[in-house]
Amino acid sequence: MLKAVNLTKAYGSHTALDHLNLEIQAGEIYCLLGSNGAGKSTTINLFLGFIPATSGQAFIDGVEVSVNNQATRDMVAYIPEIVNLYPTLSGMENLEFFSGLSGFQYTKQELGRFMEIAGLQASAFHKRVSSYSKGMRQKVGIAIALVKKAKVLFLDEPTSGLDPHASNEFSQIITQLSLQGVSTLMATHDLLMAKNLGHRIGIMHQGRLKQELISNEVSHVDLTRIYIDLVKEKEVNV
Amino acid sequence: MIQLVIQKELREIFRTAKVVWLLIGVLILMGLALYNGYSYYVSHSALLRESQQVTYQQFISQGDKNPHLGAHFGFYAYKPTAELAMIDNGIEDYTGNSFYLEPHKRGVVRFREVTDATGIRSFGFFNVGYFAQFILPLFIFLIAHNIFSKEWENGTIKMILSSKATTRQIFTGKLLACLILVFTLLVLLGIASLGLLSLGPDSNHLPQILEAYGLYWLGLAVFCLLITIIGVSVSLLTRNSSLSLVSLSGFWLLGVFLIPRLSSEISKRLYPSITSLEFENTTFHDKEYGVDGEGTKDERRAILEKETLKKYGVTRLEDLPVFYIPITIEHFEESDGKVMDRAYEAVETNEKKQNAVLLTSSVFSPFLAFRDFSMRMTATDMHTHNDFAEKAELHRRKVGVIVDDFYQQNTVAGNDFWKTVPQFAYTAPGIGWRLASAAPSIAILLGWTLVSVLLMFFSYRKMTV
Amino acid sequence: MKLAIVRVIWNLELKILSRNKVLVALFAIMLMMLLSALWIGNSMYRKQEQTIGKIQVHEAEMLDSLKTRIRRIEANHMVHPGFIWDDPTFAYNTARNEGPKFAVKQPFVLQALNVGQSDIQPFYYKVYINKKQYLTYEGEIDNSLLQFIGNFDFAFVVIYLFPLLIIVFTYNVLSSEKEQGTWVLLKTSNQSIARLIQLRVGIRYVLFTGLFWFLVIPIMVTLLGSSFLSTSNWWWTFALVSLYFGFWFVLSFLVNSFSMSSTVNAMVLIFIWLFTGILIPNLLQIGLNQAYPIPSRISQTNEERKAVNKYFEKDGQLLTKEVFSSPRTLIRQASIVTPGMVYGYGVIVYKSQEIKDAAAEVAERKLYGQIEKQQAAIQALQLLSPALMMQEELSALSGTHWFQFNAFSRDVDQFRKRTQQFYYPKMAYESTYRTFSVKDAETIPTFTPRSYHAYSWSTVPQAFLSYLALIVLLGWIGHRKLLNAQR
Repeated sequence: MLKAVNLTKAYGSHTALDHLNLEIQAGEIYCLLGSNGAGKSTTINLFLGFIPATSGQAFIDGVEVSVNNQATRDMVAYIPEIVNLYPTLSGMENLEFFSGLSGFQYTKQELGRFMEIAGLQASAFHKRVSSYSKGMRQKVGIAIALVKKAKVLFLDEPTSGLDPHASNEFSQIITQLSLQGVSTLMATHDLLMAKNLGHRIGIMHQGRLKQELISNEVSHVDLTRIYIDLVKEKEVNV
Repeated sequence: MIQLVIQKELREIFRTAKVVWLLIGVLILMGLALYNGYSYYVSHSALLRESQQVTYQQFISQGDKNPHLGAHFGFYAYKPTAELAMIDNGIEDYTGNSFYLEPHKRGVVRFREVTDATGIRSFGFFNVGYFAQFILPLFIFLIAHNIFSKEWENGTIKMILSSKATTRQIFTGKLLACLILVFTLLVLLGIASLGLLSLGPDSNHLPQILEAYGLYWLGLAVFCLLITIIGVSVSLLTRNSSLSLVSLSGFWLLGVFLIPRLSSEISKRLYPSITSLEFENTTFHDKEYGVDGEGTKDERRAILEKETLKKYGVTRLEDLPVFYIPITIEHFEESDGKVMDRAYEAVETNEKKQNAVLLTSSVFSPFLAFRDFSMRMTATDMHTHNDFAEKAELHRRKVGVIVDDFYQQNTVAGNDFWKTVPQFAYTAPGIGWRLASAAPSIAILLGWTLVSVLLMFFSYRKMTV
Repeated sequence: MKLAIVRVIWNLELKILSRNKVLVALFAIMLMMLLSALWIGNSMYRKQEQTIGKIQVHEAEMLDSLKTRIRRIEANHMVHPGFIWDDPTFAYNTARNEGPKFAVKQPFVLQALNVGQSDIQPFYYKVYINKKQYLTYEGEIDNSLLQFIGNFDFAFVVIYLFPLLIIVFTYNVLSSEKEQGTWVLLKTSNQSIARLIQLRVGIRYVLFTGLFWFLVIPIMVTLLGSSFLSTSNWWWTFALVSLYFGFWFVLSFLVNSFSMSSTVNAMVLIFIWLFTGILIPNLLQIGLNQAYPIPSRISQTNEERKAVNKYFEKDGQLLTKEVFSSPRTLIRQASIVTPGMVYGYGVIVYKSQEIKDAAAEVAERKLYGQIEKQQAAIQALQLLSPALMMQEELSALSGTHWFQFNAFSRDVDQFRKRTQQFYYPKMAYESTYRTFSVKDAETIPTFTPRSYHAYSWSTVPQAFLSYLALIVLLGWIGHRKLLNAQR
């Protein structure tokens, strides 16, 4: 479903992403781990077509992003670290707007159902977003992804700053979607979450994909050790 | 899709308290502008209309007098208040509108209202023209300055860009949202103005007024369109509300105040006006000593005497079958007239050059171009004023000839004679003339529209994360 | 607050401000504007002075020519070889030809700072018995369109442009701290934030105003000489401009103290600028014109003409008949101008002018009365608009206020009366109408010039004090708000 071939992004002499090769199947949840500046967000931005690649290709469902961005955009949904919404509009109105932008027509009830699936309480639907907590915004973000019926979900640090309960709810929804065949590419710092939620885990450092692991095959302790070693080792080399 | 963006933008705009207040403020100002313009128009047009009657009535009922003395009592030619002065009174108060019709003296338009006003007058006169030229663009900028930048500041730009909507659709939606707001105002303004115009004292020739007003409104619409496009594009290019607000209000300040005033000063340096004193001295000199070697007034007077005596075959002035004084008056009216015409023409030509510098500078300021357009369409501009002065002067000479012809045979004129002197009536030139006169500013406005469209294409390509 | 803190903040401010390229560029542009405004004002002032010089030369020439011509006629047994209407020994002829003297309002040196009404009101008149302005044009020949556009003088730059510069300078002095996240650090420092922000605004004000005068005064001295420095007008101007800058700094401080975002701050400040600088004066104008409508000169003319017509219904009619039909004055009607005819015209002009003047005086008194009422209202309402206050007071201080031009105009009216009193007895009596001599020429009344830049009638000190009080008040409110925000 998602494929990167030698995908590279350079800003002048600095290479933010270095020849990334990656393939994610339909329904698969792939977690990208890495410290700040490792290239996780760059990868997502390249798949979304927000920034042009320096070289290499990114494909979504066989369509190259840089060739037909419009077509690939139709297939994706994106939830950033902080879901920013229009503060003067209510959650429902935001959802209505973004679902409309994605070309879908829903009734208010249908939209409400999406919100419920995303875990937002009905009493909050019509309050202005400016009064929402981070978790509530995140839920609207999920609802926006849901209404779009996206084939691919891009998540950028989606659970940072969420309380454990909210974080757990979030994981459940992603798993649900995965069962329905939605592929997910998630960038995160959270090793435990990556281990529990992801099918595969990629560890990135300084723009390179250093190692790929299958989460069932590695314990949380091992994952932590591998991660720290990878990051430290390189720092010594540098 | 576009409709969706429009809906959302309008919703956001109307939920922002400061914008709602702004809108209310603008509506109140619009009402005030209409009211003030209307009351100015009604009182001025009534005064001038009545005074034109009164002054003529006074002239034709002045009783038995020596014809020349009576001619000196004269009467006034008033420039009637332009039918659209309610919308924009342009430079009316700075030129004055009274032209004295009396012998010997080529008139100057007098009674500039601005000289009988407090310093507050220099802040401008609040009517629709002022509203449209100063307040409305700023309002548009205030509405549009964050229409894009807020997406970056809210962090919603990524969400929008990862949606199905194309950048073109997003841009169009936002632009249209602003335009809907602006054009709602314009339509309201249009309807209210039309209502007042049809109530006004000139409503009997409403068709012509509507024609001119329609074109004015069209120009205003184009002006607002280009201002909105610039506002939206700058908001997109800067991606920062403060920066776009500062840039746009800077542009406004530059276009509304700085460029006009600065280029006005430049034009004064490039083409300095002669002083009133110099004007007096040179015209006096030319009248007295003649131009192109035609001799002093005394010499010319001697020639005239000789020629007149010869023409009538007599040797003494007393034997002439006609009175001689009116002949000399008529003669010198003509030769002095030439001197004065030339002097006035020089002043006018110089002013035209100055105005051309000003108009040229509106290449840098769409606001100035629109102001020029506005004055020309409402016939409250310099060009129309000069047209009036020219027609009034022609009338003055016509009156002179009538009186002097009569004076050659009669030494006393009564009301029967005075009534044969025609009343003065001025009608501002028609719509074709005004359009032709406004052609340069129309061209500049269209040029600015083109520039704004180019800016729009340039900016919407920059719509990336 | 210890001096050391002041120094620390002073250094910080200098760094922040000088590293902000936009700000430095803006300031430089504004200074360029200011310089060109000063230069423009100065050249207008010089041009007026030059014109006045030319007037003096012209007047001397006219008097010489008049005396020479009278002497020539007297030597020629009172025979004037040319046209009878040019014969200067007729008082009426001299009154129209070489007689009229100029009345001049000498521009005050500070006019270079503020054009005020000096571009629309005449600063010299050629005064004739039946006209205040004998010149073709009522005032200087000036393009109406350019007058309508307005002047680019020091006052315009200071009143309109500098507040915007100050806004750009200060609109985010506190909000930027919040937006860049340094606010928390400041909050945890051991200084009072209210004090810190006050100090920062204060330092910016001192820097701004100091730099402004540091550049302006030397340029003014170069252009205008140093004489203005010894006038109180100048020191009031200095104080008012500095206070005006202070007003905008304090206002910005107050707006900042509400702890809103930079954009909202900027919007609020620009709105206040627009509202007080442009809208209030306009609204005031609407209100004042309703309350004290200024009658048109056109109606005044109608009144004068009505009076003249009424006179000619009876008395004037008799007089005209007497003058034009008397065999004594005419050889043959309307063919040859006789001395009697010149005399007759003189009488008629004199008589009808008296009628006209009486009517005009009533109308003019009403006209000026209404303007004065408006003027009084403006002075009372000055607190509503700092821009209006500045315009009014600066023009009073530079001698270009309506009031000062009106005083000049009234002096000219008096002078015209004196001129009439001089000529009327000579031209309207049979015994004297043709006896105008060199001695008479030398005693033609001249205008006694005086200076009009006194401002005791104005409200300069009151305006200064009330704005000072306003500044203190706004500063205090801002301080309170910040103290609350700190908690």
